[in-house]
Amino acid sequence: MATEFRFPDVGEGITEGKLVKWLVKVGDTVAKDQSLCEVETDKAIVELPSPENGSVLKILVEEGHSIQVGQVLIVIGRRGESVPHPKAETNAVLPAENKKAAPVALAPFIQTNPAAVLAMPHTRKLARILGVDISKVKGSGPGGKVTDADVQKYKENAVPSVSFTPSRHGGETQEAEHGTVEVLPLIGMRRAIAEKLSESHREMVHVTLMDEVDVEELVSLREKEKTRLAAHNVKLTFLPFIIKASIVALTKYPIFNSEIDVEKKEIRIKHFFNVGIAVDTPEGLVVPVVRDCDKKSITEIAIEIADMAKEARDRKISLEQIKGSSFSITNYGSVGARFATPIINPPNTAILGVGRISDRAVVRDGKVVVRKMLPLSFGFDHRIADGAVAAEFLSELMRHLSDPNTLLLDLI
Amino acid sequence: MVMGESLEETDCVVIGGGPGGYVAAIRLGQLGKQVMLIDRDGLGGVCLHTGCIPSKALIKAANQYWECRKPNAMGINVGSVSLDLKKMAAWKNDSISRLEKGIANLCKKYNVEVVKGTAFFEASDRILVSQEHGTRRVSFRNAIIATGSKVSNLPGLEHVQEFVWTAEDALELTELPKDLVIVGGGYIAAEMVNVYAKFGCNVSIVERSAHFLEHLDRDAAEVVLRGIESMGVQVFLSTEIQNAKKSGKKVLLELKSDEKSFSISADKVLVAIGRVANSKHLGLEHTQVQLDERGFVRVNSQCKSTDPKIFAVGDCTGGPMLAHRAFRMGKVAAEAVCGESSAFDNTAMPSVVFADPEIAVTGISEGQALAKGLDVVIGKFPFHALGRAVSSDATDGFVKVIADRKTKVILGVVMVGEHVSEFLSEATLAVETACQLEDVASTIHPHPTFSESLAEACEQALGKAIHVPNKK
Repeated sequence: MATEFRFPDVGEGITEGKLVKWLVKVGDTVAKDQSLCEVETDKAIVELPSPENGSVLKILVEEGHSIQVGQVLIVIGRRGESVPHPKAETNAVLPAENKKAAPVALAPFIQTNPAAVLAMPHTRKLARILGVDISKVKGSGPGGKVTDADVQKYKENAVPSVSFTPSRHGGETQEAEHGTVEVLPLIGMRRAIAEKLSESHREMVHVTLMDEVDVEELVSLREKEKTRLAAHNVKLTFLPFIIKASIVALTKYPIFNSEIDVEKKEIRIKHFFNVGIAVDTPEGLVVPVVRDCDKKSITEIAIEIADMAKEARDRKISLEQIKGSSFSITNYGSVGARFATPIINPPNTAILGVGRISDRAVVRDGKVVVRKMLPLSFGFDHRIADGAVAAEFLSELMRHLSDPNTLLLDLI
Repeated sequence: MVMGESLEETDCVVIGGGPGGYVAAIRLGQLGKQVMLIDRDGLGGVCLHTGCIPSKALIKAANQYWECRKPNAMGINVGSVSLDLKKMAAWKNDSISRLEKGIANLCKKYNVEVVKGTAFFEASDRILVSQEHGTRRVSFRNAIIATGSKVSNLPGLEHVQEFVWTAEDALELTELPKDLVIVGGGYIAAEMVNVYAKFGCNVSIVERSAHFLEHLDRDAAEVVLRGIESMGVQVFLSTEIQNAKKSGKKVLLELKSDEKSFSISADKVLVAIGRVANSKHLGLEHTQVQLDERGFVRVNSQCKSTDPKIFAVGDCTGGPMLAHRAFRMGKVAAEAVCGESSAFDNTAMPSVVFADPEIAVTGISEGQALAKGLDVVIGKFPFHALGRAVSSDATDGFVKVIADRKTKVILGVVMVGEHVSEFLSEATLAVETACQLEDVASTIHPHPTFSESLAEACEQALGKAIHVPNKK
């Protein structure tokens, strides 16, 4: 009996996705748990595993199309077995060569019938880079030649969900009452971000405390260790130190490592320290989680952050990697800002905003001196704690950043 | 020294130092990879050592010799001309070693470690390299198979092996056989007859099919056949060898054609019937690499095999077995290994037969267009209407352009005649970039050159040629 494999509920409230790439084709033999396809959901690209051993009888969704949870994607059964519900057939046409049964599938790569495509080699390359099957693009050039513009237009029209970030992709222009507007669909990651932040802003009572901390010693410590670790290909930033200092402060003020459940009238203090790190990607903000920061060394955290940031930018972050944070840090200092009012990442109840370290004039012993100052913005949900505790938390955190030696004392 | 005991590591191993392999290795080096190039028979492969390069050297020499001897209308009288085979072979071998040194230097420049030996896959991520003294075991992230091809043997000649030459033997230039029989009617036969007939050997060609150069444009093959026969070469088509036996210092070949059975004697029998992939004895059974029914490695358009770590390029992946195909695939595979989105998606595959005169083709042929049911328009320009050809006493030849009748996009070009190989790239550029007839026709071509014929063939297809009649 053939099995219809449906887009499963992958959690996190995800209801739709986009089928990015098929990893199998009709006629292929697949093993249980073998990856069938890549699906892009709100925040990550996931591979869907086969539910059983068998042969691919039918593929119902074309690459690049959006899919709903519960929709049949592929039919798996015994070779030669007839496919149930023939009327379920769509026009999901795969290239003819993919229909031929082969013992093992060649890794799919955009294959076209070269003779059928009229395009300059650089245009074909552009299509490959953009993931466009150029044989499907109608050429507007002389003799039906496909131009760069044709490929770009096809990409924008066929897969609008790629246009996540308004400023970086063009949309359709419309004449509105007061002038021309550009209309961008609010979908994919951008929509997920919008929904999550609205929820946070609507539900929580945001308060932000701001202060500056003298980090002369931390800067020199990091300089020294940076060189040492660079020899081992580890890039040491300030972030691992800030994470460690936060863990020490959170251990002392665990209320900020919590979750609030209004319906049950509970505040749940977490005995684990998983720190979400906001990473800017071309598609929008992603918050991968560094787990068990209390049990990891600064070097270990540095390596993990570098790996995660790269994976996030390559959109290879799995759903697992963005789940389960207990506290978050957002580093807008890397783009030059000093203070902010960061929005708490639910279900967390607090967030630390890190600004840019710069030379500032400060008063020490009655004299104006130049010191390296780190601006911090600590956002918390006023429902779970009051301002005094928050101020204590922030000053504890600052104490460890201004004198990193205390980190050692508190950590051992 | 026991080297096989320790496991070395590298980013990428490339197996085979021929056109596909050394180009892939250099490109990988350029892209910052740590590369080990394992080569068995000398950098440059068959192309440099026993193929393209030595054959072109001998063709150049044979032409020079022939030009002195053949009757000409230009009023040049040459006295006695003689051949010094040893000196010629030394000159040819010197060209080869100069080019080989060049490749070695390029490898060095891009930090490619060249290892002399043979490779054997022990797993999808490990090879054993057998060298003259000992073995090395190397683990890799990616491998590129570029093991090339070797000549096919003709069964039934084993007992007269001392008379049998492969193309490689023929290029050694050890002797000039008085009577040479070439078995096969493909491009190697056409090039070798070009050499040995011009050196004064009595050459015969025995071909099983009904056509000489049967895969090429019939009109073009006809021009070459005419040239061969005018040198006194006998061409036996639709003919097969029934038996071979030793007869004194010669070999007697019993032949059978449709009509008759007959025999010819030869001092050497050059077998040039094709090539097969070098895909055996590589340990591929220890990987997920799959071969097709003819023994070629199956690859996708990024040259990736059915094993995700292993790529393959060049002759070992199938035909056409051309060095420039391997060059291109080598670059694609190396870039794909580095995560670039390169693909071997070329629309035009040029190929040249260095016969007399040369045949150069690119894109689709007239026959292929008809077979595909395409509605095409043909433009043709003969060399007898070309100033440069007439003034070079080289009027046997033409250029034929095949274009889509509706869109006027150039789909293929067939050329035969002197120097046509040198402007085949223009035709290939036209096909690859989907030029229309007008694009080539309106481009100024320098006069007087052989290349003008391409522009005028395009004009003829458009019905506006100047130097030849246009179709009504």
